Order: sequence, then C-alpha cells, then structure tokens
Amino acid sequence: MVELTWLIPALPLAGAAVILPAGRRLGARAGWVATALVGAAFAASVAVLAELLSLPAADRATVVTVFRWIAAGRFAADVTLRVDPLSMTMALVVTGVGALIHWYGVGYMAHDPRVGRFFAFFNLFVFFMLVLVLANDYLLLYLGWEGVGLCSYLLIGFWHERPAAASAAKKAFVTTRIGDAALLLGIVLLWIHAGSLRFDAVLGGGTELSTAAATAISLLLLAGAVGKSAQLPLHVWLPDAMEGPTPVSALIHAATMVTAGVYLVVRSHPIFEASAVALPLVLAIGLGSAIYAGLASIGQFDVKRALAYSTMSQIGLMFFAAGMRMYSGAMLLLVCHASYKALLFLSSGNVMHGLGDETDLRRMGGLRREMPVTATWFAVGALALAGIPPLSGFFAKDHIVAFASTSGRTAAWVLASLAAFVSAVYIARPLFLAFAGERRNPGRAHEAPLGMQIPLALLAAGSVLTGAVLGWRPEGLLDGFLRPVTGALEHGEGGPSEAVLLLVSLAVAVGGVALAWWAWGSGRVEPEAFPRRRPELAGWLAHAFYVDDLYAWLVRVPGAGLGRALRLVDDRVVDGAVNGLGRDVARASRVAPVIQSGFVRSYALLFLLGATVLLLFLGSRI
Amino acid sequence: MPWLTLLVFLPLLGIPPLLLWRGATDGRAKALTLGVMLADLAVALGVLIVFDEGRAGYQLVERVPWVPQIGLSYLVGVDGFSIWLVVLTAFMFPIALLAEWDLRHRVRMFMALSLLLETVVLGSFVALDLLLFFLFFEALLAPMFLLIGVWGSGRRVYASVKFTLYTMLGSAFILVAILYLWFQTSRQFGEGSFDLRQMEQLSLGLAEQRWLFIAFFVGLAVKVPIFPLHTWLPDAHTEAPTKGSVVLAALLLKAGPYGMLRFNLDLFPEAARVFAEEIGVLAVVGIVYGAVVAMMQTDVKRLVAYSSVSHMGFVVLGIFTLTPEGMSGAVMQMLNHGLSTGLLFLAIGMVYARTHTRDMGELGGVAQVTPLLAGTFLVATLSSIGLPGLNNFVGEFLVILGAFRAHPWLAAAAVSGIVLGAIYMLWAYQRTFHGPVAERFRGLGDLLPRELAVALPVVAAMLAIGVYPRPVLDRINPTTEGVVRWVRSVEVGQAGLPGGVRGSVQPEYRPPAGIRPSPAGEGP
Amino acid sequence: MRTPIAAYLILSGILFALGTVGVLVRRNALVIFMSVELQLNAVNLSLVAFSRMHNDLTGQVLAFFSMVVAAAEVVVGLAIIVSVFRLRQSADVDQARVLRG
Repeated sequence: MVELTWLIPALPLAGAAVILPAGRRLGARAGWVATALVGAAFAASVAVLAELLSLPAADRATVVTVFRWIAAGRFAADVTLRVDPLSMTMALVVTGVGALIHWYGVGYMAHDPRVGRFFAFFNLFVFFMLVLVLANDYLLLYLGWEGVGLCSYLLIGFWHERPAAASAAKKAFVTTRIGDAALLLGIVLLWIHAGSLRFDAVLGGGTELSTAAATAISLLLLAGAVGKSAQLPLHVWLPDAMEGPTPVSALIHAATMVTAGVYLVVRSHPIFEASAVALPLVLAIGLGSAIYAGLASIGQFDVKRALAYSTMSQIGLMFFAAGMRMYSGAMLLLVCHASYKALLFLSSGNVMHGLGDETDLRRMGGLRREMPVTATWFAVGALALAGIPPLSGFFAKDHIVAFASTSGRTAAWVLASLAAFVSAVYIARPLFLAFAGERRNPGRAHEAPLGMQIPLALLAAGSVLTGAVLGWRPEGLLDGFLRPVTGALEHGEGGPSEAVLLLVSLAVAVGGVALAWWAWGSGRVEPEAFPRRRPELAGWLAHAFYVDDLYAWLVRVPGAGLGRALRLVDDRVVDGAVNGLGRDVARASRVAPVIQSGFVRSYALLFLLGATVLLLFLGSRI
Repeated sequence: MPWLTLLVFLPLLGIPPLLLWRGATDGRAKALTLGVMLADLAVALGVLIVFDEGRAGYQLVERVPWVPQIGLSYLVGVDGFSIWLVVLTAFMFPIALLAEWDLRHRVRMFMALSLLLETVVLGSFVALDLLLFFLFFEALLAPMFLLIGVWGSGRRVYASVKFTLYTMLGSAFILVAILYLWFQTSRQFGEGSFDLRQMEQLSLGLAEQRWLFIAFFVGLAVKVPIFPLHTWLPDAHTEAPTKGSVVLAALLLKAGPYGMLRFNLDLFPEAARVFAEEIGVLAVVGIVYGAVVAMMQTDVKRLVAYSSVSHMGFVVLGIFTLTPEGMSGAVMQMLNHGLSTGLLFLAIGMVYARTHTRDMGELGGVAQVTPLLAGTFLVATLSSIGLPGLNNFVGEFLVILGAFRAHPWLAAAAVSGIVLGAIYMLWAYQRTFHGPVAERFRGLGDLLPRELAVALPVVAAMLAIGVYPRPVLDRINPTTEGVVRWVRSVEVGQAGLPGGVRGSVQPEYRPPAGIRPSPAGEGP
Repeated sequence: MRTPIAAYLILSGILFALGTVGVLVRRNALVIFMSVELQLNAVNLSLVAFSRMHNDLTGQVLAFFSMVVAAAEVVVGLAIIVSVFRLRQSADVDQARVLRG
C-alpha cells in the first residue's frame, strides 16, 4: 500500500481534471464527485496509516520516488513522497476534514451557477495540500506551497465580480508571495550548504550546517511560514480572505493551508535547532500573534473576520509551542484546531445560509431558537476552542501553556495564559452575540438542511474527542506516534505544580467565557455599548491596531511614488535621451539637402568636379 | 538528409505561389501559409528526434563553401543552446498565424513576410558562420519593420523606425568585431574564415578580448534588451500586430541571449569571466526596474512588454552566473519566456479583438462573459510569475540557484522580481478580468474553436515543461556543461586546443547531489 | 603612313569635352542622353587607338563591351525618359526634381 501513496494526491487531482472541463455538464453532481474522490483519498491515507502502524516505530519512514523532476549541473530534484508519522498526520487531517467540508459544500454551493468550477478548484487545492505535506523534498514542498496559494487565490476570488473579493484574492497571493520568495531563497541556500533538498538527506541527523548557515536558512524558512500562516507581520491578508465562500474559509483559511507554516517549522526542526536565534524568534512571533490577533478578534463585528483573527491567534499558539520545541504539542493543537475551527466556520456558514448571507454580528442575536442545531455545533466548537474540559481544545492548549511554565519561562507562561484567556473571550463573544439574547434584526431565518448538518455532526464529534483521544497527557497517543520525527518531549525543570497549572488553566477558560457572557450574552450590555463609550480603543481593536492601514499607506504613498518616478525616468530620461539623439541627428541631416537639389545637371557637375579632383590627386602621387 | 537546410528554407518555398499565383484568394493564402508552417514544424520535430541528446557540441552540421575567397561558407548546425529555440520558432509561427486569421488588410503580403521571417529567424538560430549569422540577424529587421509599420496600430511608424534604428546601431558593433576576428584568423591561420569553430581557436589577448566582448555584448544587449537599452521594446510591442508581438517576444528577443551564449562565451571566455559580475548587476537592475515600471502601466500590452525586460534580466543573469545550473536555467528560460509571454500576447490580442481597447482603466469584468479567455490569460500569468508546476518556474529556479552560487546578493535581489512580478501581473489580471462587467462588454463571446487551437497547444506545452522538464533539460545540459568548463578552463592568451574543445568535452553528470553536504569552500 | 596616335587622342578628347559640355548645359533629357553617348564613343575611340598601338586586342574587346552596355543602357534610359515624358509632358530634367533631399 505504501507504494501506492501517490494515489492519495492523485485522486483529488483526477477530480479536478475531470470536473474542470465537464463542470457545466455535471452541474451540482460535481460536488459529489469531488467529495467522493477526497473521501477515497482519506481511505487511502487510512490504509497507508494502517500499514505504517504495523511497522516498528523506528522504521516508520518510507520514501516513494515517482520520477526525476529537475536536473542541471550538480542540482537534481526528484518527485518523491514521504510516508512518515508527521506526513500521515497531516494527510489524514487534510483528507478527513477536507472530505467533510467538501460534503458540506455540496449543499452550501448548490445554487451557485459556477458550482463545477468551485469543486474543481477545491479538489485542486486538496491535491496541492497533499503534495505539500507528503513531499520528501523542499522543492516539491514548494510546489505544493505555491499551489495551495494559487487555489487560495482562485477561491478567495471565486466571486470575482465583487471588487472586494478580487482585491482580497490578489492581496492574499501577493502578501504570501513575499514569504514564499524568502522560502525559495532559503531552499536555494539550503541546497548550497547541504548539497541536497531531500528531507532524509538534510534532516536525517547528519546535517553539518554551520550555525550561521542554519540561522540564515531557518530565518528564511520562517519568513515563508509566517506568510503562509498569517503570523505577524505578514498577517494582513487573512481577514480579507474571508471574502471567499465559507467552505473555502473553513478548509483553506482555517483547517489546512494556513497551518502549513506550522508543518514547515515542525518538519524542519533540526535546522531550526541548529540555530541559536530561530526558535526563540518562532516563539516570540507565535506569542505576539496569538495575543495581537486575539485582541483584534474581539473588535470585529463580522463573524468571519472574528473567526479569521481567532485562526491567526490559534496558529500563533502552535508557533509558540514549536518555538519551545514542543512539536507534538503544536501538532496536537493543529489537529484539534482543524476540526473545531472548521466546525465554527461551517456553522457560521449555516447562519449565513439561513439569514441570506448576513455576516454582521450586530444584526443577529437569539438565533438559538430558529437554528437550534447550528447553535449546538457553534457552541461545541467555541467551547472546544475556549478550552473547556473535556473538549479537545482544553487538552491541546493546556499542554502547551503548562509546558511554557517550566524552565524559567515564567513570563512566557503568563503571556500564554493571557492569550488563552483572550481566546476564550473572543470565541465566546460571537457565540453569545449570535445565538443568545433576542433578535436585533427581525427577519426570517431558517435552519440548514440535513445534508449540511451531517458533516457538522462529524466535525463536532471530532472537536469533542480528538483532544482526549490523541493527547490525554502531553505524552499521549499523538506524541508517541510522532516521536520518530519530532524526538522525545524534553520537559523543563521547575515551575508550578500540576494542580496549580490545571486550576489556572480552568480559571482562564471559564473566566474568559464568563466575561464574554457578562458582556455580550446576558443582555445587560448592548453590543455596541463598548464602541460607543470607548471609540478610540474599539477602533484600535477593530482595525487590528492599524497595521493593515499602515501597509496600505506604505504601498500607496512611497511605493506608488517610486513606481511613478521610475516610469517618468523611463519615459523622459532613458527614452528621452534616445529621442533627443534622434532629433539631433534629424536636425543635422537638414544640411545635406542643400547639395541634394534634385537638378540632374548639378549632380553631373559635382560628379565632374569630383572626378577631376580625384584624377589630379592620383596624378600628383605618380 | 540535410535537415537544417530543409528546416530553414522550407518556408521560402511558400512565397512564390503566394505572390505569383493568381488564384490565391486571402483564404487560400492563409491556408497555404499555415500548411507550409505546419510542414516546417514537422521538420523541426524531425530535427528534435534526430538530435542526440547526450552529446555536447554541434550536430547535424552542414557546410557548403559560399564565397571561398573570403572564407564565407554556408555553415549550419544545432546544439543544446539552439535546438529548443528552433523547435520553439517552428511551434510559435503557425500559432501566431492562426491568431491573425481575421486579417483583411494586404493578406498575401503579410503571409509572404511571415514566411520570410520564419526562414530568417530559423537561419539566425542555426548559423555557425559568423557572417552568415550576421546576414540572418540583420535580415530580421526588414520583415519586422514592415510587419510593425504596415499592420501595426497607433504610432506604428515611430515604433518601427525606432526598433530598426536601435538594432542596426547595435549590429554595427557586432559587424566590426566580426571583421576584426576575420583579420585575426587570416593572420593566425593564414586564411581568413568566419567559421565559429575556427574562431574559437584564436588566441586573443585579454585587452583584445575585452573590446571584442563589449562590441558583441552591446550589439546583442539591444536585442535582449538590457536596461538601459530597452526603450524600443515597449513601443515596438505595443504598436505591433499580435503576430508581430508574439514573434518579437517569443523569438527575436531570444536572438540576443542566444548570441551571448554562442559568441561571447565561446570566443571570449576570459573576458566573460571578467565582466560576469558587472553584467549580473545590470541584469538584476533590469529585473527590478522592468518590474517597477511595468506596475505603473495602464496599457496591458505595454505592461507585458516591460515584464519582458524583467524576465529577460533573469536570462542574462543566468548566463553570466557561468555555472551549469544558471546557464541551463537561462536556456530553459528563453524557451519558457517564449511560451508564456507569447501566450500573454495572444490572449491580449483576443481581448483586444473583442473589446477594441487595451486600456486597463476601461477593461474589467471580462472574466464573467469569457471564462475560457480569462483562464487562458490566467495560466499565462501564473506561468509568467513562476508558479511551480508551470514552465517558467524550472528556469527561474535554476537561474536563482546558479546566481546564488556565483553572487548571493544578486540572487537575493533578483528574487524580489518574483514578488514584484506577482504584483503587477495579478493586478493586470484583476483590472482586465475581475470586477463588475461593463454594459458594453456584456455581449462578448468566449473563445472560438480557432482561438482554442491557438491557446491549448501553448498551455499544454507549458504544463508539460513544468511537470516534466527533463526532456528539455537533458538536451540542454551537456552543452552548458561543456561551455561552462570551457569558460572556466581557458587561461588568458592560451590558444584553443585542436579539435574544438567544446565538442570534445564529454558531458559528465555527477551523481545526484545530496546525502553528503558539499565541503565548504566548493563552488565558484 | 600611319596616323600618329596623338591625333586619335586629340579627337577623342574633343569629342569627350563636347559630350561633357552637352550633359552640363542642355536641359532636354534626350540631348543629354546623346551627349553621354558621345562621351562613351570618345572613350571607345581612344581604346581602339591604344589597342592598335600596342597590337593587343584587349582594348578592342573592351570597346565592344562598352558598346553592348551602352546599347542596354539606351534601352533602359529611353524607357525612363519616355515614361517621364508621359507623366510630365516634357523631357526637361530640371523639372524632374521630386526626389531632392
């Protein structure tokens, strides 16, 4: 079965190849084809996983070579797939959550005239994402990396007749491209220093990278990861990316693509560890993003934007964990997050579906009566994210925060607890604003059909169970499974006792939810009271501390100014010199016509004179 | 079988019937021309099959003395540098012709000129005699001048005169250098010759080499074009008819870097080493400059023209890394740029045929009514910005790799071109195809079968090269390795070794790099 | 008795000078044309004279060549003159100056 690993990405690719040309004829059936193929890819992944588990832990890494891709000079890169615990974990998340979101999309997109194209792009995305996680080679990883960026572009801009969607798509692609360019440089630098791009050659323990080289490479890789995962300072594209259809936000901008950066850091951890500054930087970026995005999320009234910032904040926590070398903890949060964040997005998709594409939280409220099932799903997802035991987020987040408390990282622990508290607040807020209280904007609302509820039920089950099953303790199932790749977890020394940690963790989660209840759920406070009373502070939160506006200004004013200046230089100076030269030559050539009078006889006279002079000259030389 | 002669002169056979046959209506003239071009494509594929991929040096060489008194001979041959350009030429000509199928103005003349142009372009890619090359190279100008001047738009006369003057000025330098080399051969070997293989063996002093190198470089740089010699390009591209733009972008621009590979490196290896870094800087300036200026354009065709300045910077950068990776990447990139920019111009032509504007301020939303056309444009855009899995990435990556080995900071600066490329191309795509559709564009039709026949082969080629570039690279690599070794090995003033060094260098692959880190200090 | 070579050359020189003056002063294209013929034949005469003097046939052969070329030239030249005349109703060369610089 391992030899057939190529089938896992090939199935969705086949789906895209079939649906794209035949989309119009297939119509709504395209969704079922796409779902079936991703489901088949999931089944194939499970089969490969089963075979992998039958091997002893040390042998759980197989490389499947498909064909040689690029070769020139000393450089050679193959298309090789890697089957190991880390890649299979990612593949299972991608295909599992992916299949469920495809299924949901069948109902959600049923009435869109371009449904065929949607599912073709969706399948294409799954293909590229699988290439990304299954690649055994940085160059092939880069192919997947850019491919998911392309699909993200296509799907954010799916409703491209809306200027906002088209701009958001472009912004997402260009912003991540900055990181991608750095990643590409990192890959090149890696090849120059290590002589290979294959994971088994570069990461297999025997790397002899100098500290300086490792630092440069890991920082460049980190820049790529930061761009893709929407971390500070390349995060500005993610909130805008919510212009895409909701299943897209769920699959690409919550569950899978944006976590690729975490995967990259975890995968490349030997390089990061060889550098002294890389991992602390990962930690700092993660923590900073977690708190920053958490605060920004509280300021949003668009439910999808609030969820987008929460995604950024959660990924920040994953980076934070990876920065502490707690790779299995980062992966556990990644897996749990994929399930509950997809659940949150899709249930808010249900709300939009029921309210006629309404996303403004101020115009919701009291929806628990009209949409009880959806309310349940959203509540499960929100509480899981908030870290209420025994839902999955509790385990994933608790392990990370507790891990931070050791080895004298008290400040980090305090900040991480703060981030956890903020995340409980920001996720309970839309829950209460949308579903609690009374309707603020009377109108019809209807519950989503059954076909859209079943995938949500499965995701809800995942959100409840994954944490407890995979990570009851920090050294849980997932950690044991990943150990051949990530190495054993190195617990630090000291820190508060476990009981204290547990209490703090519980207090943070419950306290956060309670605060949100007091502010937005109890009905005592109006949703807009805070912005009205403290407009500046609310403005800072709603605009995410104006970072995006700063970037926009930088692009608009100095950036475009430089462009205009260069264009002027090109027209006036570079080309002007040429045209000026041409003018001068033309002016000089006006002298010539004096001789070229057009009178044949004067030509003949000149001819005679010339011949005579020549003769005299030649004669004088004899 | 004289493959190359057949290849080069087959298109000429189509001209007499076009001009003399009374019954040649416009439709028949088009069909006849297309038939001849397709036949030539078949010959080109034959050449590709006969070509021995493992060998460096010239193949399928044909030599007929022409003017023996001055050592001019009809000498043609192909190697890894030219084989793909030849195929690309034969591939793009019929496609560009199909794109101009609706032409009504002086059709027979247009067809005859197209055929003449094909012969001349092919000739300059296979000529191994310097004077013969020069003849073909100069003969490019006449049909191109007419194509732009007669069938162009807007300021077509200005553009065509500018194009011609620019290139002829550059060519003057080349001619002088060729004559100097001829005198050297007659002094050193007792008999003057324009044979490239003989000139390779001249022993030239470093000062001599520098001057000759500069003369060749300037003449060829105009064609590339390298900043600041590029300003003819936007005008020529913008005013040329679609076919002219495609031929210009896909093929004529390649004559510049091709000449550098063929002559500058071959004949003046030491000078090439001396100037490599400066030229690299110039190339990177071109990459960034072209990209920034492209960003500020409102005419979509002009934007793509500036993007060519940027992309050709990558080609030149790759050549003067003097590493096998960078040089193979550059050769690859010549082919790739031909395909992707060619397709961009084809797609722009299709947009223009429908909307009669190229101003991105007026365009917009066209994707809603012409999804296939938008898809075609998008694929070309993605290829142009170097998305892996499409053709451009392979070349671009290898160029950056080679550049990093040679001059890390230049590579870092060149990478910024990748980001800028994404910005201006996607912005152009958005302004053309996205957003609400204007009322007057609502009735536009999507691609016709003929237009699909134009776009699909190019798209297929781009995908094929992106996913499986080995057939291409395998034919390029032996030649680049030979040239790199030649450029690196020759000492100043050392006479060429007998028997043609380049041809005798055996291609030798190291085992796939990897497993062990390369020892420190290795590399350029 | 043989005529001295100088006589031929003097005659040739006179004829050539007449032709030259004719080309320079006359405005009628036909007359200019006849003057050119006069110049050509002046040269032919000296060629033949030298040939006799050196007893070498090359000079005479060359004279034949120049006569043949002159004949061809007449054909082309007259055709041009005729078409210019048709176009402008005059053979005045001073009026045909459209191609001045």
